[in-house]
Amino acid sequence: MPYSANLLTLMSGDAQNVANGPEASEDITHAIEDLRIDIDKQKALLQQLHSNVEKNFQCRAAGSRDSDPLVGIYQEQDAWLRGMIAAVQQRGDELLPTNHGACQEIVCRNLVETCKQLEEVLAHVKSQKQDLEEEKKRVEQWLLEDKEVGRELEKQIRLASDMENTSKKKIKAELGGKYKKAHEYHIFLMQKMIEFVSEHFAPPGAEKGKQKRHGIGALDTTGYAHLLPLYSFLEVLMNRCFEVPHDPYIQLSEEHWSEYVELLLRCGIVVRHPNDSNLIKLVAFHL
Amino acid sequence: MGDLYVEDAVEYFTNPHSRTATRGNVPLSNALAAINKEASANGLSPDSITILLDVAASSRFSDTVSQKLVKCLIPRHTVSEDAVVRAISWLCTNIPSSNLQALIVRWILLVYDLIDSKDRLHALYGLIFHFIEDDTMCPYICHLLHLLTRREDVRLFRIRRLLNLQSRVGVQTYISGLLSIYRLYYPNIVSLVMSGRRKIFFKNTDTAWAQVIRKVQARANAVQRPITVQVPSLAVRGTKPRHKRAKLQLVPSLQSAVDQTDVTVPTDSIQTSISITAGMKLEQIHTFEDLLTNVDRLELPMQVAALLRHPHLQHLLLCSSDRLLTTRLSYWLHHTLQEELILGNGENDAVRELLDMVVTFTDFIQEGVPVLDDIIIRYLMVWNGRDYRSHVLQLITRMGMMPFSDLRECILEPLRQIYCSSSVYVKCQVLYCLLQLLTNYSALEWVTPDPNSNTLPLPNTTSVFSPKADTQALALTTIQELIAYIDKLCVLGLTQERDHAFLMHYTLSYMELASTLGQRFGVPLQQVVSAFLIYRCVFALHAMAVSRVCGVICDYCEQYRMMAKKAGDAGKQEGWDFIVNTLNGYTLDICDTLWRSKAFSFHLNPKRSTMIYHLTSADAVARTRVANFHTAFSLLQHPALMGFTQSFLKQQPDEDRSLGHAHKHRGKLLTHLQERHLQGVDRFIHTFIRSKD
Amino acid sequence: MAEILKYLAKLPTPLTAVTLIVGDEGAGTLELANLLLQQITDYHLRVHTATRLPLPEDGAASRPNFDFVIFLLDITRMESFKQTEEALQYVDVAYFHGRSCLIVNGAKKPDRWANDYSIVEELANAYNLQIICCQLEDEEDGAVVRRRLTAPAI
Repeated sequence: MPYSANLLTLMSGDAQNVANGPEASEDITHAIEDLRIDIDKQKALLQQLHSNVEKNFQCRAAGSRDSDPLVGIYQEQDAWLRGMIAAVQQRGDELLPTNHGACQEIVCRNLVETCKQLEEVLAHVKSQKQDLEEEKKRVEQWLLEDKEVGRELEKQIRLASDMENTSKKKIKAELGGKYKKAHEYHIFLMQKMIEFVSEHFAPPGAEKGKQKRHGIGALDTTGYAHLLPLYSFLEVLMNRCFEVPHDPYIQLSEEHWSEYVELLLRCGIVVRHPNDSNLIKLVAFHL
Repeated sequence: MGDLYVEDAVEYFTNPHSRTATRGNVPLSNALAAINKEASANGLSPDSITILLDVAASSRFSDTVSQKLVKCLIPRHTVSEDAVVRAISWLCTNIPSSNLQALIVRWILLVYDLIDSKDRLHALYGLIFHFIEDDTMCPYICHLLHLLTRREDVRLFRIRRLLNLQSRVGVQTYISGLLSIYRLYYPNIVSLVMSGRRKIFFKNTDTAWAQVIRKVQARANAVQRPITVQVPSLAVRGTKPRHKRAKLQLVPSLQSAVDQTDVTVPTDSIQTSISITAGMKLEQIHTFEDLLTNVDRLELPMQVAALLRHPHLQHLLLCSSDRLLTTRLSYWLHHTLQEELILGNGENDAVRELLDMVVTFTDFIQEGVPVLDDIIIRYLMVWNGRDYRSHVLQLITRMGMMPFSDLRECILEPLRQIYCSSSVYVKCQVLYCLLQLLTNYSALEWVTPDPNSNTLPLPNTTSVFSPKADTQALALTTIQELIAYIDKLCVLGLTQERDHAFLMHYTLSYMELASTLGQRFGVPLQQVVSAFLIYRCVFALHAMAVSRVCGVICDYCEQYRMMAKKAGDAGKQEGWDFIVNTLNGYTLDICDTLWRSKAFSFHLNPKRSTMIYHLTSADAVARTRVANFHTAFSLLQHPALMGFTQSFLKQQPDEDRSLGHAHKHRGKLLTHLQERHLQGVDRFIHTFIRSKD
Repeated sequence: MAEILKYLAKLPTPLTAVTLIVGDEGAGTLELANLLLQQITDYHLRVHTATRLPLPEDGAASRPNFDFVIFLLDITRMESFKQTEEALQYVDVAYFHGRSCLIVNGAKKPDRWANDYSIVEELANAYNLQIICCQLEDEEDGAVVRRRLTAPAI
């Protein structure tokens, strides 16, 4: 099949060139003549077959709304393949023309073509080889590194088990240091907060003239001595949140000024218990 | 009524005594016009922007004027962070109208990449977050937060606020957008179902405005270039690359969990997690030696995907037992590739760079990443066969083991369609990919069972990503079916490409691999390369094919002998008869053709089941009218070897130069071929012909 | 049943491939036709286009045999899908083994897809059609499609 196809293209496309070329030989002219006769025969056969087809076959639409088109398609395909197999078996082998000149021409062309292709292959294989060598180097490097990491880790494990006792002390000291630092920072932050809150959200007892916003300052000053200042309120909430994380709610009582509760709720700093409006908790900002 | 200078115009706006009325205020409209003109021509300096933004945000002038002013704030080079921070603080005062507020946020979004530093802006994250309750600003605020979000900003209460908001206003793309970046940082706490096709979370409403800014920037940079060496806006990107780069390059740059040197956290030692020793910053690891000495002290980066960028750190992943790491990496890869590969349009360099890294990474860990299989399978459905071809094919070679029916459906069929309708070079690439896949399957997924135990062996490698359930049982069937599939593809390709030498080379590679799978990986021999391919090569026009196919037959025989020896008394396995017969048929035919000058000798033993007999008929041979067809493909006359025979004969003494004489020097000719790297023929003859003349 | 597009209704012309592109207006039928005609092939390639099937009766006599049918749909528009679905009903079953394919235009703009990809896939599977996804206006993509459609058969 490939040879005959080759030949066909060869003859159809280049028949003129071949025939008129300086190397045009008897053989080639003969070959072309043979081929023409062959083509005419094939054409006649084709026409006959086609009229057969027209007479005997009805076309069917593949798709219809009610049936699966695939069934029809596969049936058709099945029939077609069977036909192909039968045709191939019947046809037997296809050969190059026996005409010497034509044969030579074909083989020559094929050889030249193959040479060209082989040169491409060679270039490709060379570059591929280079790539592979690089990859090999890379992988070897990885392997080396991997081994080193493994060795190092083993060493560390040994060291760790050796120094278990000494390191315990070290950890303790280190953690102690960290704790101290954190504690200092905590106190610093708390102080800042107290300053800020006392200045801007003073309890009604310590009212100053300028703090009339948030509706806090305008209230009567007497009778509020028992109220918690806002920072203490917040502190209670925070402590609860961290010390009893599974139940961070606190019970509202008289010492919690309702204005503060309202403020905190509005700003989304605390939330009420879904079932008990007397319980509130700090929103978990740290999570 | 002449044009005002910008300085004067700015002065007008800052002067507390200027009239603020809009109606009939000629100086005001003049000043506005001057600023507008300058801004759209050359842009404004950072200082002017700071001043004017302050004026606009303070709403000292009427709303229209303020809005016009904001529209004019087109930066020549950069915007100072100060200006933005002040604008945010004005937003908090409720003095600007809500339209003006929204406009200011839109402006911040537009110039976001030009802001010279973002740390102070980021410090206001919590504050900005509160603006999401404002319906007008919400989309823009979400976008801004999306740009600003760092890992430490993702907090449970924020997620709750967003979800509450979502339940109030419905699912909005901008809220999903912000949540999606939260999820990127903490996939475990943000459970969010994203509809697949939504890629664009934030609409670019101000395209015209953005264009003006771009134009002005381009012009300013062009002017600036000859004077100063470094273009200011580029310098900004160089010094503060984090966000810009993350967006451009997909893979985040390194930022260790230990090191949170943000200005907002002055005492970073407090933030340190409880490790035995103080953690090393990942940024300090530059060489492999650094890694080695600090291997136990390193904290993995907060953005695990950054590992892809740093080959040294990938070692850490290998020795880490933390499943969370691989889960996060998987999640990140899935998310990013889904966005960029499946929902993205066309090739771009960023994705190519990412894929490069992923491929190197899979090479490094010597296994595929399971989520990638998923992505590749989905991508293959819409793949045009060209985009990212080499990457896609390389990732396919790392596919996990799966039942053959799935493999065929999801991988092989799409590849076959590409294969059939592409050039010979693409065919070769596809074939090479499948051969690699076959190799990887055989080397990594298949483990030779121990004959003494009944249990299935454990894979001899440990997996970085959690291994899929028991693929061992599948492996053998899938491998065998894959071989058969590749065989068919080769047949198809060679027919289609008329035995193109390139494809022939890869077909031979396939044959060489298939014939040595037993020796190399212990995969049992269950089938042999199809006759079509063998004879295609034996009668090829070039020596490469002839020699290599001879080698393939030798390899097969060795493999068979090895297996027969191993099986020993256990007896023959099912299907061996067929293999033996087929191999014998090939061998006899090649011997007859190359050595015994008995090619196509059907009459000698019509019952012999050699393959040539099946493929050709005596009648056809006769019809060729070739007189001496028995010798036409012999060692001396084979079209593929003829050239070598010629060169060989030329080296011989005169009396031996004719073909007739050459027959007795065939042994020497074999050596001659071997010297030209055609060992296959020599090996074949040595293996199968005992008495060699 | 004359309206069905029949395979081998006429004698095929030697060394010529006649292709019919069926796609509604706006699906890129003409672009595809022009693309195909740019390809250098070692056979003559003729391309016909139709916006819908069945083809009108009156031109039937002058119409050649179609060797290959390309169904083209624009995935960003639902009508395009509908029209293709409709057209598939009027095609000879003989076309559905290797003589037709489905080109999905607009595949690279998933954000604008009018329908899910799976229904396109279902349609293709129902008719044994090979799908080629592309973005025809994208030059390189077009070239890929062109090459794939005109690749030499066995």
